[in-house]
Amino acid sequence: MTAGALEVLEPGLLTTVQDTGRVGWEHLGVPHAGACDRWGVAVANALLDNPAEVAALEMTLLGPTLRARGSCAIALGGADLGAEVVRTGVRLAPGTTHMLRDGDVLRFPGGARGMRGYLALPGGIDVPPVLGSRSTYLAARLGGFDGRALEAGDVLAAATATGDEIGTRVWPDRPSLEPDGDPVLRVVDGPDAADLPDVLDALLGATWVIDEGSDRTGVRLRAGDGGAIPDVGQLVSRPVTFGAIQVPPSGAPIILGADHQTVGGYAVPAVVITADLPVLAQLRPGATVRFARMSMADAIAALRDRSESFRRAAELARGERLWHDLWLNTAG
Amino acid sequence: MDRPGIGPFGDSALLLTFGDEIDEKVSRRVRAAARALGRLGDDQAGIGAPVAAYASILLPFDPLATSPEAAARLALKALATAPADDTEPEAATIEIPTRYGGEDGPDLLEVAEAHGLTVPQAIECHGGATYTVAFLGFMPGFPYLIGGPAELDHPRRPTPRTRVAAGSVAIAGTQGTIYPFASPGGWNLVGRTDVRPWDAQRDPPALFASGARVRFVPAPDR
Repeated sequence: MTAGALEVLEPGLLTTVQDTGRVGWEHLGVPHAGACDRWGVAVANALLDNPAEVAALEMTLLGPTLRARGSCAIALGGADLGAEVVRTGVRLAPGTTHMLRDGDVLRFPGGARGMRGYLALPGGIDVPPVLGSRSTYLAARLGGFDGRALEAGDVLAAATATGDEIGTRVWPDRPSLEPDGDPVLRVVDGPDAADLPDVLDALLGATWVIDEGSDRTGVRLRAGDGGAIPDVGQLVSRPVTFGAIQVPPSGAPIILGADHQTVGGYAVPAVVITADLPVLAQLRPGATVRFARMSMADAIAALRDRSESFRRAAELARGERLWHDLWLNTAG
Repeated sequence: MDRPGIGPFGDSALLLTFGDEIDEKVSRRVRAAARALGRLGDDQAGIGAPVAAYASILLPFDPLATSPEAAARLALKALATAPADDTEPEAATIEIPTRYGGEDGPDLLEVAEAHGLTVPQAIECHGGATYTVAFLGFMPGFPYLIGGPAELDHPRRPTPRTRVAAGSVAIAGTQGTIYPFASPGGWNLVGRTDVRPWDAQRDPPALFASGARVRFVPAPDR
C-alpha cells in the first residue's frame, strides 16, 4: 500500500510544516521554531500513534483547502478551524481521526475560537529534516516545505502508508488549551523582576490586548486598561526564551514566540510558564489577556500536571481504539 | 574561573551572567564557559545546549528531568573545574572582501563625516581592525563582531531600516557584522560582500565560529 498524500488547493492564511522544533542550534543563531502550540500538535500526532517528534501542519485562523490523493488517514489537534469534508459535508472536530478517500476535499473555513489548528498524517509529513528538524523557519527559509508557507499546488505526502487499522479515535481530553473565559497567562519572575519591580507591577496590574502585528516570532501586546510601562531603556543583548515577556522602550510588551530570535536587548520582567505556552499560542488578535504571577515550584508542578494529563489521555485514546476495533471485529 | 551570577530564566532555563557590557575580556570568559557548559549535556540528562551572548549564557534544562537547583549546581561545578582562561584554538583570520560605500554602503559617508574622517580614511579604519566573533545570534549565522575601531564608534540608526540586503557589512558602536539574509536592521551599512555567513548546504552551515578573527578587505566594485 502506498502512503497517502494531500494536495494544497488553497493555502489558507499561514500554513506551515512544523514539528517540536530545532534543538541545539541556537548557538549558531538558529531559532528553535516548531509548533507554537505543542499540546495541539502532540494531540494530532498521538491520535495516529506517531512519534512525538514528527512534523504536522500548523494552520492559522483560516486554514487550507486540501484534496486527498489516495486514501489517507488524518488527525486533528489544536483549535477548531471548522474542518469539513466537502463531498459528505461531515464536520471534523479537533481531537479526532478521519479516513479521507481518494479525491476527498477537506477545508478549514475558520472557527469561532482559537488561533492555530494542527493536522497530522501517518508517520508525519514527509519532508527532509534540516539541522535535525522538519520545522519551517520562515525568516531564513529553513526546513519544512522548501522553507516557506504552503502554496497552491504543493503536495504533502504521509511518511508511512495508511493501513485499514486506523479506526475512529477520539481524544478524551481537550484538543486545545484555549481558555474558556478571560485568558490569564501564568508567569514566573523574569531575570529583571528584582531590578525592575515597577515594570513587573505595571505588567501584572493591567489588562492587555493582543495586537494584530502578532506572528510566530512573538505576541505583541498593546495597552488595555491601566497598561503603561515606564521606559527602562535597553540592555546588552543576551539570550532569550520562548515565553519571555520583553519590554521595549515603547512600553508595549512582546511575548516571544516559537520563531523568536535567539538574543534580545530588552528587559524581561516575567516569563510565561511552559505549561501555558499552548494557551498563548491560541490567543487571537483583539483578545485581552492578563498575567498571574506564580512561584517556580508551582510552575513546574503545573507542567508536570499537563504532562500527566497528556499521558493519561494518550493511553485512554489508545485503549478506546482497541475497544472500538474489538467491537467492530465482533460486530463484523 | 570566577563565579558568574546565576538565576532562572523562566521555568526551563538558567541565565548565567558574567558582566553587563560588551568587553573582550568578558567575552573570552563567556566563550570558555560556554565550552565547559556544552560538555555538560553529553552526560547529564535534562541539560540542554548553552546559548551564549556578549556577557551571559542561557542554559536550558528540562524541569521534568531535573530541577533548577540541580541544574545550577551542575553548571557551577562545570565552571569551577574549567580552565581559568580561554583555551580556544587560535583560529585563522577570515578575510571578507568588501565593496565600500555607494549603494553597497549607504551609511558610510554619514558615519565618516560624523567622525571627521574622509571616506577613504573611514575605509582604512574599518579595514584596519581585526574583529573577534563574540557569538552568533539574531538570525542563523549572524556574527556579533567586537573590537571595531574607536574612530568609527557610531550608534545604531534611530529608525531601523525595514530591509537590509543580504551580505551587508555593518557597524554599531564598535561592533560589526555581516547580514546573512535580507532582513530589517538598525546597524549602519558601510559596505557589502559576496561572502555568505550562512549556507544551509555547507557543513557547518555557519561560516563563523565564536572566537574566530575577522578582517574586512576593500574589494573592487562589480
